[in-house]
Amino acid sequence: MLALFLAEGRDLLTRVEADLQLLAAEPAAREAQESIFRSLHSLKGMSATVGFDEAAATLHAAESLLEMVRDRGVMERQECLLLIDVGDALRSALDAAEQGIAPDAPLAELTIRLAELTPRTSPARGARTRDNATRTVQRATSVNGASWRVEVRIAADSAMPSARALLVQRRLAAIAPVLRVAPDADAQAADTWDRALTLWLGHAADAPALDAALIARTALLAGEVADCQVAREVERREVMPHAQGRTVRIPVERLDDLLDLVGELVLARDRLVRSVPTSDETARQALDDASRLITQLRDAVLVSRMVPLSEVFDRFPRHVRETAQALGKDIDLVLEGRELEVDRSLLDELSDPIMHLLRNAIDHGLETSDARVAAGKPAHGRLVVRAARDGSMVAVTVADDGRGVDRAHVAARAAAHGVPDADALAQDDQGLLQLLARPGLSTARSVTALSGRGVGVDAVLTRVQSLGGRLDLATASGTGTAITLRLPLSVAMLRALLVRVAGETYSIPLSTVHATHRAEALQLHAPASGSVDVEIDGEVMRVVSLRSHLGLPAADDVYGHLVVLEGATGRVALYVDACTSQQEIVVKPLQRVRGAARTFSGGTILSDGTPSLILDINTLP
Amino acid sequence: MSHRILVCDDALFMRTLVGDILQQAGFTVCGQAETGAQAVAQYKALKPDLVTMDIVMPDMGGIDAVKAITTWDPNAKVVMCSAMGQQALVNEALQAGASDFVVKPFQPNRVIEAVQRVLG
Repeated sequence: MLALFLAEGRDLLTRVEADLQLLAAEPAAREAQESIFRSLHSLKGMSATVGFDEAAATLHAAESLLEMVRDRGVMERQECLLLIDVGDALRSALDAAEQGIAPDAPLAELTIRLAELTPRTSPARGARTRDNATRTVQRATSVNGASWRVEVRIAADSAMPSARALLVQRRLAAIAPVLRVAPDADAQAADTWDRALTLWLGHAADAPALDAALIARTALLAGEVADCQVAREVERREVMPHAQGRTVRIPVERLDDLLDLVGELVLARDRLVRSVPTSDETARQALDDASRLITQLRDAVLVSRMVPLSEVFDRFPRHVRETAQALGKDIDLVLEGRELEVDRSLLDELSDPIMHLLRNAIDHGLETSDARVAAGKPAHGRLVVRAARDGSMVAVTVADDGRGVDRAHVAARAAAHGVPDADALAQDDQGLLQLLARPGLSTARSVTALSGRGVGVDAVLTRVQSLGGRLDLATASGTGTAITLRLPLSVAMLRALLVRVAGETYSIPLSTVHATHRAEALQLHAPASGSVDVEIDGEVMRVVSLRSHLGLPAADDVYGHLVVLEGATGRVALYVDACTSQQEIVVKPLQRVRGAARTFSGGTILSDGTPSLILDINTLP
Repeated sequence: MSHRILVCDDALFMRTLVGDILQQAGFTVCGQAETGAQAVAQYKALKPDLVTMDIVMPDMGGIDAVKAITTWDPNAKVVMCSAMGQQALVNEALQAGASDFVVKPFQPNRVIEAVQRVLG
């Protein structure tokens, strides 16, 4: 249907253009005037039918102008030029519709100019046309990422409906991000505003109990609200051509189940591959085909779990505004890469660490306006949250242009806490991060209600590492601080190093592994008897025996492997019986049983069908 | 214990009117201010549960007073009292941190409703 509309619409516009050229030469050509009128009228009806309200409004105004021209008998040059502009704008609107993108043609503006050229329209009617046109534009638009649409009517006896509308917006903003309000404040200020307001609310992950009744109750709390209708919005992702209106909402649990099943399917395939003899040519061929399809299926399931970062990013403006307000700071927030897609499970994990970093930046990094001006900086602090793909990882950077981390201060605090070589460590960004991430080492000069209790950076680092990611710091005195967290795009699948201890296979996220070494080459003495230090490549680090960590008896075999891990507080060498292989694993969450030791972050089934636990390296002593 | 309210308006008539409305509804008027500067000083001294704030006042206007009060106490609850036709100023006051507003001429029930909404 859309294709037909587009094709016929373009035909009509071509005819209009030809008629306008004729009229430019012969302004009194009656037949051309009639023809344009009919073409525009047809296009108007078609546009309204397919929901192109904005175009319909413009065409309606053009039609009125044509009526006047027809009555007068002659088309003025000015009118002809304007109609040519209208034709161009409509054509680009059709092009945009075909590509599934929002039109940027200035249709609303053209509607107004058309109305201005039609003096038969009384001023009052002109104003209303303008207002209607504006509203149509806004109401015809859907909002990306919106979960709820709230229609509010301000009471007729409200003396200040737009101020009341602002209160409605603010009440709702307290329970969910308000992504858009229509009409906007300027249109509300017009006398012709009909007191109807539409608000689009985003996803509020921190308020899972959000429902229509709660939203309506909250809106009514603003007072002078005559009516409130709440509707669930079909969430729109990136506007995809041809895919609009063909979206299905699926509970994330079902996608989890689907991923689990695909994971099992992959394992079953691997078992099958091993059991089918290579001599059986036909079976091998069939198996290869099935294998390829299973891999494609797995990728398709993983892709279906991808959601844009905007779902969490869109919560930051409010968070930052409130925090900045509470701390009396002026901050400009810049969000980049909110359209980047990540696995659903990762999205939920990203929010808290980023919130932590934002809070730290606002509290400690950014100065007050007075201090900034005194330092020759713009009065407003700048806070940037930038997301980008980095190979198979997503990198999210929180950068401020504040005072930077005070290395001497951090070093002094760390030394006071008994950290050796704190001065040397603090000179280097990565060393500084290690110091900052020391549990309990708060560098805040004063503890505020918002941060500075020393749980910030170490909490973030622990969280990020348990997800198989890493944290990087860059800071310069007086110019600012940037902290980048890198996480795998999908936390449901990860590459693991498989190690053996006492006949069992354990998985270690490969992203946390720095290196592996044969232990006997390092002349390690009795590693199983507890924690000792070892020197590897000139660096002294603790050795932790996985056997004793798991409460298993010491091994008879003195030969083993050391796996060097990037821990929250520096490198640790993990002593294991053997490193066996690397493998892509599907992470399954573990039920936490009766206060069991938090040694493992999850479990998985290996390709040979044996279960394996995934080691949480942050729980190592 | 009834809520304590600070009433700010440069006109004694208005302060009295608002005060009467509030007292009849069972609220306590704990203080009055004639200028924005007085309002800020009184707020810090009295720490009232709520403030009613006129917009146009000499010395320091109501909007600046709202800014000063909400900077000092981000949880401050301020209800603006505005004349007809000052919608832009009311919007500005709401942006500055005011919680609600009532429009003159005051209808007692409107004032009470606004105060109760804000006190939750």
